[in-house]
Amino acid sequence: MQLICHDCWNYTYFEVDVETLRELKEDSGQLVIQDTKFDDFNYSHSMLRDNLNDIVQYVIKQNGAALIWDPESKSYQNNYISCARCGSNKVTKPYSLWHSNRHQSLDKELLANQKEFTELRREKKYADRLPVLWKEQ
Amino acid sequence: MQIDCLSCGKSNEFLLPLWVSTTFKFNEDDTLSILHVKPLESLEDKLTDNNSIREISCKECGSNEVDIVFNEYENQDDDEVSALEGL
Repeated sequence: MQLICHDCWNYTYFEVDVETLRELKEDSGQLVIQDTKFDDFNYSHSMLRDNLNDIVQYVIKQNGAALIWDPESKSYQNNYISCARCGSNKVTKPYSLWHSNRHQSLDKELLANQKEFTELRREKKYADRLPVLWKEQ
Repeated sequence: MQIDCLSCGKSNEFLLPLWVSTTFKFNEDDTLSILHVKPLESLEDKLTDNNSIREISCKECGSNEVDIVFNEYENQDDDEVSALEGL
């Protein structure tokens, strides 16, 4: 689950406005509108997919920065993506990784992982050395 | 209708950016699938709007200096018009 609508709880279908490219071609006085192709590569389709992917990844990464405050509905709304089921703009990531219930101070987390870190450093110190045979006294 | 690139004058192919509304879905593996694409801008309006003409670029050289003639027979002499009508 990447995004969720806060009004209808849809987490699958969304809408977004993206820019694509069309080609105008003059053919014996007629204007032909078609996809842009370079050799066999369909640039129109590629641009549409890339732009869609860019916006979705941006919204997922930025989350808060992609939201704007709407004074009428008194809620935050997504500036880019809307719900395809109910049309609402209240679309955000479904949860935060650092939610309050799981909150742990950084000091406690470092302390809890201290032993593992020591082992890691020890491995690093001896990683580039050959094993030494035990010598009899 | 005739479109000319004022920079290279060679190409008869031009590029025009258009905004579309895309309906998509998240698949099980978090990839995206496009369900529907709906144009948000009218191509006719964009071609006749002077500000939007600057967005049209030549496919060959990339220049935005493009001239669009909607009716190339409009400014013809009476002789040419009557000749064409005779044909």
